Amino acid sequence: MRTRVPAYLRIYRFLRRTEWPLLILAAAILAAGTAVQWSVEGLDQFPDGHLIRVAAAVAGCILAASVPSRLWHRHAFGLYFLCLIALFGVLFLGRATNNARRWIDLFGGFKLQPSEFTKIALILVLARWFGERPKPSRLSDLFFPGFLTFGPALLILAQPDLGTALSFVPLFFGLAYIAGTPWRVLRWCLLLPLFVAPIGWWTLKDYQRQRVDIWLRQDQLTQEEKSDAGYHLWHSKLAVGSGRLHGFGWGQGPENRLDRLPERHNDFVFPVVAEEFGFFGATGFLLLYASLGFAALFGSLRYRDPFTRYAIAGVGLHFGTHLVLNVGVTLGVWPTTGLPLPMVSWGGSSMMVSGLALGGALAVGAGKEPVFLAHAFRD
Amino acid sequence: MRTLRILHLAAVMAMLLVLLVLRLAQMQIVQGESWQEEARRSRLHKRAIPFHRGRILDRQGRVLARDRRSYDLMFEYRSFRRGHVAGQLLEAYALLGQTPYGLDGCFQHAEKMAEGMLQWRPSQLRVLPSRSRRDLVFYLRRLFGMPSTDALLEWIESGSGRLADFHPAAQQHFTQRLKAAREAESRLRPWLAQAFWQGYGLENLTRPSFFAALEQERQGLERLIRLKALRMAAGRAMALTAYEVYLLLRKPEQESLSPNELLEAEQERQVFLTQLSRSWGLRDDQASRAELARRLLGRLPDLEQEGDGTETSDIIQRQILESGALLRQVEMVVPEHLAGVRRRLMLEVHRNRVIRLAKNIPFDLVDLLTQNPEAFPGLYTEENPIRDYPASVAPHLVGMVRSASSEDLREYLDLREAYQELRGILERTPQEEERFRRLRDQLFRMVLRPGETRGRSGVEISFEEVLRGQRGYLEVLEAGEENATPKELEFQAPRHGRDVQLGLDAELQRAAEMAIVQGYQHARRRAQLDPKLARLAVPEGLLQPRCGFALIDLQDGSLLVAATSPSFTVDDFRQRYDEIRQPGGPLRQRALGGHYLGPQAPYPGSTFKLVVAVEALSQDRTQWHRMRECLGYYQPKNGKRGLYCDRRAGHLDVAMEEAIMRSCNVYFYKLGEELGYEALYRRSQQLGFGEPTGLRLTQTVGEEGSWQFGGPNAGLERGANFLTEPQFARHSLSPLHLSIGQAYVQASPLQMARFFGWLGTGKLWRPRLVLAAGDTDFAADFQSPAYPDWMRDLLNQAMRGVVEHPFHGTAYDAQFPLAEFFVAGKTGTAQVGGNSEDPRFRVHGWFAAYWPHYEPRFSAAILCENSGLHGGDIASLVLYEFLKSPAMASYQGQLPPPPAPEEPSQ
Repeated sequence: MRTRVPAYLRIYRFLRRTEWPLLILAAAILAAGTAVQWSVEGLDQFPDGHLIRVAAAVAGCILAASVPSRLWHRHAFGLYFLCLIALFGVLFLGRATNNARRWIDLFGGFKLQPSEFTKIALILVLARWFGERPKPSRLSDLFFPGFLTFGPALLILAQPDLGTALSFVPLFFGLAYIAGTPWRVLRWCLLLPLFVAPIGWWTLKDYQRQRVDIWLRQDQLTQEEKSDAGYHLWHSKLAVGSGRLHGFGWGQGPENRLDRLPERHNDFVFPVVAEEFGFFGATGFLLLYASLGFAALFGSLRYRDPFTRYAIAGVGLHFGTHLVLNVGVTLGVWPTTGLPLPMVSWGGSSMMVSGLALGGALAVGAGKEPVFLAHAFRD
Repeated sequence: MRTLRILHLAAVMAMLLVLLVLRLAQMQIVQGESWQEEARRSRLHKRAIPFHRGRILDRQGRVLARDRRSYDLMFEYRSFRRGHVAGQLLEAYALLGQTPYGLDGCFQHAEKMAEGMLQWRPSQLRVLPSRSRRDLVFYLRRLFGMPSTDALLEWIESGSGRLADFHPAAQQHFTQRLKAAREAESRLRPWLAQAFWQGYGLENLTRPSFFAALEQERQGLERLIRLKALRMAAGRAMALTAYEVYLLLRKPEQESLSPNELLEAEQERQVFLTQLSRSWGLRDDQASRAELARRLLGRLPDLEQEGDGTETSDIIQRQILESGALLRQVEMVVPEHLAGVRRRLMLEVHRNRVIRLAKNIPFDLVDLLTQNPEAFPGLYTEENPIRDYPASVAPHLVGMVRSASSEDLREYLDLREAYQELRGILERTPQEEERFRRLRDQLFRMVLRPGETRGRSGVEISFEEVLRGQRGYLEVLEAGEENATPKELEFQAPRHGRDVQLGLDAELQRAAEMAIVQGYQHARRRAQLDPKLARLAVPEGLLQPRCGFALIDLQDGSLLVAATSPSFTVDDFRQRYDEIRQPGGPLRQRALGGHYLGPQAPYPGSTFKLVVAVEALSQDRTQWHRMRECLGYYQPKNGKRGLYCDRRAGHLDVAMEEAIMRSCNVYFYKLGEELGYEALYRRSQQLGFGEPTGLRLTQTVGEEGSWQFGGPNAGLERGANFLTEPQFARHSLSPLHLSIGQAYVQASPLQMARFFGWLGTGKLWRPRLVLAAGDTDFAADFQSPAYPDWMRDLLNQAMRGVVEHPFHGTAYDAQFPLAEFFVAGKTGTAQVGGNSEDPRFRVHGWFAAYWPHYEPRFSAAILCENSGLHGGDIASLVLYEFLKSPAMASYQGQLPPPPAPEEPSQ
């Protein structure tokens, strides 16, 4: 029988133990995101829609943070299966937009993107799975977590949503690596994409192949491609490149202002930053965003409890992965895949999930006493 | 261990971050400038400002050709559909696959249509793909003043209720906009109607509204889009480009194919059509293949091609429906062949096709449109100068302009392609950069573009480089949706063309044309009195003068007059081309020779006898006094037939002076036979015969120093100046014929005037048509073949005799005394072969002369083609009338007074 802890004490504990750096960085990113969305909307119009989503994120964060760590631990698989069901559901019940079924309509005009929520569930499930077992030493030890990861990934791929599905991969390998999977095992897994790639190429849709083709030839696009298949990439690069050192200033970027940059409130939000704030601003933004990931990763070091440690590191990986993939796409480092930049982009689900993830990390972290001398607990 | 692993992971993340930052640095710092330039350029539109061609002036500075300011009315559908209520309504409905009205109908029934739109529910709109949704939202916002794009998109995505409920102020906003549009239209309407229809000559017919006319243009664009989409889809099906599809289908229709090639092309076409029919799920038999080919080529059904009963708009409508049906079929069977095609084509066609609605519109309309550009989006004016020929003088030499031909346009398109290829490269090498800049200048400033004109003939084409200026341009940077006024950035003023000054004198030219008419009138009146001539209907033949008149200023070699009759005006050329292009018609420049038909060949006749005299005298001075007997005909030693003198009774014993005065053929037969063909040939060549005159207009462009023959205006002199080479003149009679200027030699009036100028001054001028072009002055240029003074005095004496001698002078005329003007000259009557009674083969009358004989200043030659009269009966009359004219009087006034007659020496 556990002793009942008074509420004020719980709040005090939470505040004392929690990952303050995460909160501060997240607040800064949300503020930056609002500024960018404001600029996208046109300076004369306040982005009230975005503020609602920011509020949703904050609410999600508070909600998630108020759930105690042990509940997260206990219901990880439950959440995961809920998400799986939603993913199945979306395939049959979902609303088709742009030839993809990604959303489930809720009451009151809200809509839900189950694939976003699956990201949190996956982090929890993997953290619990790796945390409850000795460190994986054989390839077969990775089979079940692999199944946990790639099962939903395949469902998401069927929506189709290549970007989200791809973002699961680094999460899995990252957590598996942290969990202590020896390199001799992991290297086979890392080789796996080489074998999967040809099959993947074969299953890709025409438009996806075209994107890869455009990406490979991004410096020799014809005039026609620039206005058609390569339009996104070309205008993204135009916006980024023309920002130069100092940028055009807030709300002044021509590509943004003239509505020439497509999807600029969503996946291509980074070019707006780069165009209007230049190299210095964009680098600063990247560092700010990355430091959220680093803060989570380093923060996880403070915990001895494996579940806590993996969950927080997973959240860090989540943000890091999205940053690298999303920004890489806009810079032409990777081929174009639709992946939002959490907390900055427009999507409501993504915003809410970011809030939940952060809140979850805080809650999980608050559940255990941090240990400041990390080296003392090396096993 | 696990701590270390997390650090590893952080390190990987940091590395990726560094990668991103490096990439960012590469794009923003290293390549930043070129990206910025590229981005700027992609928002930039260049609007060309036309230049004015240089003027063409006569020697006194009178304007012969100039550019007049004029404006065209242009229509750009893209701006119209984005900016005008009617366009927005039509396009919004079209996105949903409905087109209840054309543009005119949309404008008329705007309220009804808007009401219909306000009843729309999001569920109706969700069928649209996302791009079309954004387009629709664009129109909705413009029409109804909806707040924001995102909110509207959101509403379509997940909203409910009617559009009117979503934005209650919509109706009011729309009413205001419609009112403004109608006001603008009513203000412009009278002017538009006038401008639009005046070019068609339909002012008095009942005509459809201006919007109906716009609708017709819109349908034309729509038809083009569908046609192109079909070709593109066909190309995608067979891995070809749309243009290749077109070529493949057209190939069997080329006329230049050999039978084998034709068969091959036809087979290729059939195979293509069969495969295409299969892939599109169409029936595959002969008839439907032909039908498919017809639709891909955008042709009408054969049955209706003949009848003119159907209106153009009906035909276009029909084609739109037909191709629409086929496109739907393709869309159903193989959607990937059409994916994205239509939208892309629409963007391209609507943006790039700018339609010239009317030319030379009234200036009031120009004012209205430029002062309120927002009143009628899509309509704008473009300056497009018109070439004007106020003096309407010497159209052959001044020339004309023409609009761009398909060849010019191909050059333009090729250049544009090369330019865009280079433009696509982000970092160009120095060579590429240089080529890029050159191409850009060429493309934007030099190359002939659609709607522009260039020289077609005469000076207009020979001096194209000088006359042509460079376009200027105005850079316009695209502005955002909300603040739609574009920014003007860089302005490059056009460089107007430079002037060309001709040696012609417009007044003299007119005087010469008048003199030709008057001279012919006198000659006709006289001919009517002669029963023999009247019987041959010679006077009737003189009603329409056919005459060439060249006059050279012997001070500087300027070609003062090059009159030809009949002549034409630029309006004739535009409106009655079929009439004037008849062979031997006004298009032939007779003063320069030009393309002639057989009987018009310009044999110089007796005027050529002077060449023989020059040759004889230079060989032997005593020839002047040597007598030769003329018995009316001459039988050469080994000839079978005799050759006759003009005077059948014979001139009896004549010396050279009298032979020239009386134009005795037999004297010159004998002299010519004595001298031989070779010698005469060499002498003629030395004096310029057998070659073009070196007129700058007809020489090949760019070959300075060599009087090369060719170029675009070669036709002006072609074939007229001709001399048979000795190896082709072996007949024993050849020297005899040559010595009276028949058969073996031809010379234009210009050539003869030049030769007589030499007889007068000893200078063989290169005629100067152009005194100065731009900054270049064309210096006077002459040759001086040996010509001793004693010979000149002798010949001068003989040629004065031609004009002055009351009994012997062939050009002596008491009524028209050329001697008043101190003229020395020689008449000529050239036979042209054939039956002398046939009106087609009448003789030419010639008169070539210089004056004043004491100090020659002018030389002239007049050819009265197939006049049927002796030179002294017609050509000399023309010269007399010309010398009498007021225009010539001012020149005559500058001449030195004649020397006092010498006292006979004691």
